Amino acid sequence: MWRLFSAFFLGWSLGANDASNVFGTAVSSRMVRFWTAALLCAGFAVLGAVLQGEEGLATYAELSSYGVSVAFVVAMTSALTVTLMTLFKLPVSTSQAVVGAMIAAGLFADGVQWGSLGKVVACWVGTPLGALVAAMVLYRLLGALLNRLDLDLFAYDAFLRRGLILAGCWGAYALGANNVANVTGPFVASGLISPIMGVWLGGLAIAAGVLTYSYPVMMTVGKGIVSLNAFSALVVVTAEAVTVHVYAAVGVPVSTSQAVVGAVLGIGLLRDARTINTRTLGNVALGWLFTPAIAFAFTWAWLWIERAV
Amino acid sequence: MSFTFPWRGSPNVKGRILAYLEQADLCLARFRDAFTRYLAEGPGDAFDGLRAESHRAESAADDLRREIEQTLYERELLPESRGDLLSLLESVDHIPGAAQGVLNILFLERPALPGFLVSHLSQLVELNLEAYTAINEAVRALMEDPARTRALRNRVDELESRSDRLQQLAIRELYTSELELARKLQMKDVIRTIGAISDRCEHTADLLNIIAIKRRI
Repeated sequence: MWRLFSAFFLGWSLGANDASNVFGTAVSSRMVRFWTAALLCAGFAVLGAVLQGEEGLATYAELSSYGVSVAFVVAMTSALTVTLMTLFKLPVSTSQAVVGAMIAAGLFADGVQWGSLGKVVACWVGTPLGALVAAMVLYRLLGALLNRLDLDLFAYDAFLRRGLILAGCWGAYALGANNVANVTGPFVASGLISPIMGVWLGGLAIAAGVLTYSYPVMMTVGKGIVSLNAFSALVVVTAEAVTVHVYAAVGVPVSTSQAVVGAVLGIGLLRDARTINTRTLGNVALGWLFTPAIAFAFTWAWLWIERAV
Repeated sequence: MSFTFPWRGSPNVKGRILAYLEQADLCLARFRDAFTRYLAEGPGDAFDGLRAESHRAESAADDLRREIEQTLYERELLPESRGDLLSLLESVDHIPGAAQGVLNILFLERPALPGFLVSHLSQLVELNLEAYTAINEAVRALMEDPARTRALRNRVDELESRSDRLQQLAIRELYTSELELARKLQMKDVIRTIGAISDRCEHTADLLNIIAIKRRI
């Protein structure tokens, strides 16, 4: 059971990082106190994990099956990969790291289910694309609604603030539902813990990360999103929540960071395509390629050394 | 660790802005009284008393503005609404300031107002105060009825143009008169300072326009 520490560590780092994607805007712009956001985010992440997290666990079970010690390696190398990518200031996808590590572990044991892998990789492309389309549609619809309502300054402000809180709660729910499989999926697949225990442990680990260490990341990442106006930020968080929730229902763990990037890109295309920073976009794409590749390499190396020793 | 209910509105800010506008109203009302008294009687205790009342109202408005700014910085509203309101308040605050500028010239320099300018000065003050009234209503409408803000903004533009024309007419008459150059310069200063009220109003109207445009998607 001590090996579950690695899962908790991964969940903790995931919660600490990804909370910024749902509440970074509200906290960094001082619309909501950190503790209000953190408690809401942690609560809804646990709720999402417990109520809708089992679909993703089932996908991980399909993807590969191996022993507890390999599951420990997968969690540890995924956490290492995420940390390394964070050092390079690239958007981190825990899902990609975990899947890359699991494929390496599966290949090492000759047990990868390539059919399920195809479904996961297709969804990686679909996440930013889906969020991009969702953001464009939401931007038009919500924009038309607000123009028609012609709200006064305070009502307009309240609409956006409440919208950001609601979208944040929804995003946190989707984060828990979708990403809990990244945290405990390998251990559930290995049979060490039951799916119910997996969703509770994973959900609580994410919540712990949100509550204890999400503040600095919220302040950093959130300020990046605030460069959009509040209306666009609401559209981004809602589009992200919709997209990640859809994937949670399908049972494919995806990255909230990728969804955010897709949604921001969608708004950029609607407003003025020239404002899109292609260099940053290129770096993000590189990060998406390198994350699973590095996790794969770490896991392969770890297992190879372990076998040699 | 404190937990704030995330749905709360901003009654504090709105209420304080309305209170601020009332103080600004009072300041401008006393400005009118003081100026009218000066036109009728020249310098004296009555004028000084009204000027002091106008000044007190302006100070009270300043205190309220600082309170609003502090509330906004502490934790109210979205950053962009916060920024817009702070700029708007700062802009509105220049209007009572401009009125105080006129009263200060009268109080400190005690100029003798030439008879041929009295009517122009009186009209100029009324036009500028009308522009202020429209701005005051436009700011209130921004918080209650945005569609009305647009109409009031146009009214301010119109009044500012009329004020400009009247200033030009008054200055032209002033310089064709037989007054000494020093008095001409002093009177020009009075005319320009009164006109600054509607100039400030126009600046605030432009700001209101930007605030409204930013909220159209």
